[in-house]
Amino acid sequence: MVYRLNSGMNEKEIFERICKGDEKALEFLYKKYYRMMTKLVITNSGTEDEARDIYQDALIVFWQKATSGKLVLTSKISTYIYSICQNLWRKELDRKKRLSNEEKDSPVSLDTETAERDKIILQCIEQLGDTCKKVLMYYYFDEMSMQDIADTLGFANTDTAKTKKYKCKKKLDDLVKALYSERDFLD
Amino acid sequence: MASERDLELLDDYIRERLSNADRAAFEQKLSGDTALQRELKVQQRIADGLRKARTAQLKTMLSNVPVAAVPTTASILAKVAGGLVFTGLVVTGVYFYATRNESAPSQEPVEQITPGTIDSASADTNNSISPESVTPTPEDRPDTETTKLAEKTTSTPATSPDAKIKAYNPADDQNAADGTTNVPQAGVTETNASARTSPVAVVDNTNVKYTFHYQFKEGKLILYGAFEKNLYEILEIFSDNKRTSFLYYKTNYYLLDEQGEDVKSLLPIKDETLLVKLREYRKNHLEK
Repeated sequence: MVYRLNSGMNEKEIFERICKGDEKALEFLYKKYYRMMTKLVITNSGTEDEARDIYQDALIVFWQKATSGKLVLTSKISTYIYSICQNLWRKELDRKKRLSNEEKDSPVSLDTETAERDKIILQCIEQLGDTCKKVLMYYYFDEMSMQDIADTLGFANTDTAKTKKYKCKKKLDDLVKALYSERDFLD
Repeated sequence: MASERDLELLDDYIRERLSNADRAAFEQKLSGDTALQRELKVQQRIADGLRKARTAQLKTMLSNVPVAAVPTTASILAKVAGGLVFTGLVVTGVYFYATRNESAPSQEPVEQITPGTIDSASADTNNSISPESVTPTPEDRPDTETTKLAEKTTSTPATSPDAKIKAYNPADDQNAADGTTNVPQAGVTETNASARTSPVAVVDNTNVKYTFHYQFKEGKLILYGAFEKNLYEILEIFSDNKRTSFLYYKTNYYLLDEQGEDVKSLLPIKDETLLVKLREYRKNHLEK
């Protein structure tokens, strides 16, 4: 696959590529607005690391909405992402404020069982092959259509993509349930 | 255990792909089926895990995209300072250049070093300003295009590429008297026998363009740069009626190529074999 990504690529083209799950277009977009978006956080008492984190989160929100087909863009991409950055940074500042207001000696409750359950799932995902991981991630996170999954991963057709998704999910379910059962988490 | 159909519905329910009617019907079924409720929890966790893993994957991918650093207040100030320093350097350079033209090229010989006359006491002095010490360290340099340009015009031993010189044995010249043939290897400068008269060494510390260079011109060795008096030594090694000259300055040795009259950079010798021999040769001379 040949990627033609240059500064002349227009908004429509970028958006169309992102909707189809083209990660190169996402990288291009990330680079293009990096300074603009991170400046928003830095000039509002954030560090560069925080700014990068917020911008990445905002871009992932945009990506997820675009690939899932839930986004109808009515403004410029930069305006849209900028507003997500603003919201995320506002939330982060609120969270920080809340934390600083909380009593320092208040007991910290840690749900170790939930953490353990989540950890098992991540371990099982890691055990899958690359294609399986991609199919399931595209399906559950990117919410891509079977046609886009087939196109992105080079499957012959949507039926192949569906079969692959079914088998991979079955494998992941079996791995998770086996480990959950060992730890009595299947209740 | 949930049926295939139930699992499909669960999947669509988790991904919010059910119509309102189907959703209501599924929730109705869910409320009376504890096994299906358990399955829903597991499936939700799996879907959440996949989302987290994908988010982490995308973040890693984005973190690997090379981006220009965001200008912070400190970096802007550093750039302004860098600009001022650069302007100062340009103005100073223009001033020196103009002054030099007015006063004609009066390159006064600072000191003549003849073979064997080496000031060993001063050679070990370290607490003086060398060309290296006046060059800004990388940390001091503001990251601007202008300073990069300025750097290119400055040549110091620290930034010069390694001089690739094949080993030449200076001690062999002692065998010359025995009639032993001793031909310096390729890469080592040679002059013919008529060049036995040592060139006069002069220092030119006013040249803006050449800050750590040398030139053989009209029987003179001109050293360009802020060389301190008595801190450099010229080692001349004669072999088979041929002379090879080296400069010793601030613990480094530099080969002096006498061919041609063009200005050349002083590049420190890195060849350890040659360095060992030069050190030995110099030590023997100092002890004499």
